[in-house]
Amino acid sequence: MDKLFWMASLFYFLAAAGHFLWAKEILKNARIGKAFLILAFVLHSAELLRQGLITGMFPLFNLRNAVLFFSWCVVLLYGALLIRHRFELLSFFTVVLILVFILPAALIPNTAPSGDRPALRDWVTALHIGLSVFSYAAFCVAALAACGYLVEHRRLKNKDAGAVVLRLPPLEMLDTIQTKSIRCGLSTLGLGTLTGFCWAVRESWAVLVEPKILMTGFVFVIYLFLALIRRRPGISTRKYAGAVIAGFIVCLASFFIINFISSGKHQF
Amino acid sequence: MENINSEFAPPGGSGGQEIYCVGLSHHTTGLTLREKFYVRPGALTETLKSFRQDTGIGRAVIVSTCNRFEIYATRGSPDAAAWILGRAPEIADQMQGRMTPRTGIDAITHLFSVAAGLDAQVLGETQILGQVRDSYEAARIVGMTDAGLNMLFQRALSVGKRVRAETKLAETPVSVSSIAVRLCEKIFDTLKNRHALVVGAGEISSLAAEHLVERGARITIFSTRRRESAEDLARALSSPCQPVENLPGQLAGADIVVSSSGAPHALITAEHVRQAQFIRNGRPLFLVDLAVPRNIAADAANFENVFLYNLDDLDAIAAEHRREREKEIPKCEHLIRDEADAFWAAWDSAAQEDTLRRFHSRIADVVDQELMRSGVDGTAREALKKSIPNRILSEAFRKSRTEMAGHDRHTLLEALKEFFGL
Repeated sequence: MDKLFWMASLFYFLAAAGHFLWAKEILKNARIGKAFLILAFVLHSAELLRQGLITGMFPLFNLRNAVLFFSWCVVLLYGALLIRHRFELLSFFTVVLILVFILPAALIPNTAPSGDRPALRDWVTALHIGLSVFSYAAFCVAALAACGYLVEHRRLKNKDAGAVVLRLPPLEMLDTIQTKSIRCGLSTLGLGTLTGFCWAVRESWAVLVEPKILMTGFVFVIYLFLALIRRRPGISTRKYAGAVIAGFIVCLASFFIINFISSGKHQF
Repeated sequence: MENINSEFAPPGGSGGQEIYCVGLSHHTTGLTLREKFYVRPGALTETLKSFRQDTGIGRAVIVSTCNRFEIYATRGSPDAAAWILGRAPEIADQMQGRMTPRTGIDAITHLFSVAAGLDAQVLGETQILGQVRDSYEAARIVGMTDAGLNMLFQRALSVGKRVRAETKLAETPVSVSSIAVRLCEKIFDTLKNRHALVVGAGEISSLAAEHLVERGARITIFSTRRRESAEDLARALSSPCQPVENLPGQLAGADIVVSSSGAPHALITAEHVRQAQFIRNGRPLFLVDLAVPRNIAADAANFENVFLYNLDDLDAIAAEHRREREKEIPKCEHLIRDEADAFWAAWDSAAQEDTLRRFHSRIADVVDQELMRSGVDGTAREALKKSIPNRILSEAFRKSRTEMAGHDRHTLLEALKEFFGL
């Protein structure tokens, strides 16, 4: 049953290996790594589709699937950036990050929700969950760009401009990716929250003050703050990149830890 | 005649076409001798015409760069070497033993190495590919190339591109000015409309300024002691020129500063940079100090988003890049050897086919003469002129191509040439 999942994981691993060998100059180019990454993404998509078809629900009814969907969104966003900017050196880190997320997810039982959950068949809920998880993926890409920024900034400052730095995208581009990803994440999180609110009003759902909603509000405020301060004078780009990484750690906390203290009705 | 590789076939005429190369390079000749032979690109066509007139060699390409002066031809002649020496008779004695003749696969391998930048003084330099292309074009324009030279140079250009695409020989820059510009590209998303201040008009800063202009940057030149050279550079780049006293005031509006003036003190201090960065909201500022003594205070680099590189820093990067290029040499040599072998095999085979074609043509002429003498005329004669030689020779030609080993075939073709005067 988990064949697609394991095959996708295997291809992500091979993609990471391909990019690593290229970075170490053992392979001539990153084509092999990129081909494995595309294959892994296709299998990853097929696994999500399969889950949706089997259950007849938007496939985000448990933590395992939420992590799978989140990783899928990260690869989708990263792929879009790769087509636009053609930098492959961050691919290795992206794929390793994906593996860090999806391999532990394999340990989580893939259980369907107990009892009938009509909410999970509702398109408004699907939109709410999909957009919210997508926004977290955008924040993840912003954090990846921030990591790249810090590494490149340090190397350029230390005059360590070897072949690795020459393959990284320009600092300004990494800075722009952070800003754009945060804007994208904020818009989708805002829309996701709005659709969730619409659903709650329609269903007369009274539980509005619960950990997940509070944490989402907190994450929204953090990134709104990051988006607003970006263009203010005197902001250190290095510190800003650090704040983007810290913001993503808060995101991860809201994504995973909240599950254990949430009401159970509102998880993904 | 069937199956003649007409695309590759060397031009008709007398047999035994070969590839020949003679000349001098930085390996054998110092700059003081080499510069006597240098031909600037604009004078190449005239030099080719003069070569043709003086030597009677009508098919040749002259490759003249700072590092070499070489003549490539499809027929060797001692006249070519003598003609080169005749260009600088006053140093003929010193040139004894410095001219290197190459033939056959050696000449092919050498040209491929030259086009790939493997034989250059600056390993992997990219300029040479354009110079080889220009040399070939000049010869083509004056009608001094034949099918063989066309194939040779077109393949050399494609090998040059292949080496650059498939190896890392030219991936990292090795000149100080290109490294400075590449570093700019690592900081700024694009150099279009970036404002660069160039202080002084030294060789390296002028090159860096040219690279920046090519990438769309706006340049302001600042003159120090020798105002004329700065003004000349400004004119050449269609950029404004200002006195160096204005430099600190312009810093806030700049993204890049390249300084190489002979000023004995720092022209840009940490305080200048601090004030500029305050106005610029801390946007990235790239400072390149190519001057000795330095023109930019070292503590200017202490500010956020200020990247300061001096000559030593750029030299260290250049040395690292050179080491990376040297690691690629075996891979490049292997690729060039494979390409040269393949080209030589095709060349040799085409030369052999050429002998067969001439033999076929000789037989056809004899048949034609006999038919004319016998009174056969019109379309029947034309048809017989083609069919008789084909019927006689096609089986023999087929066997020579498919069943004879290389050496045997070569002996047979040599015999044909000898017996029939081909």
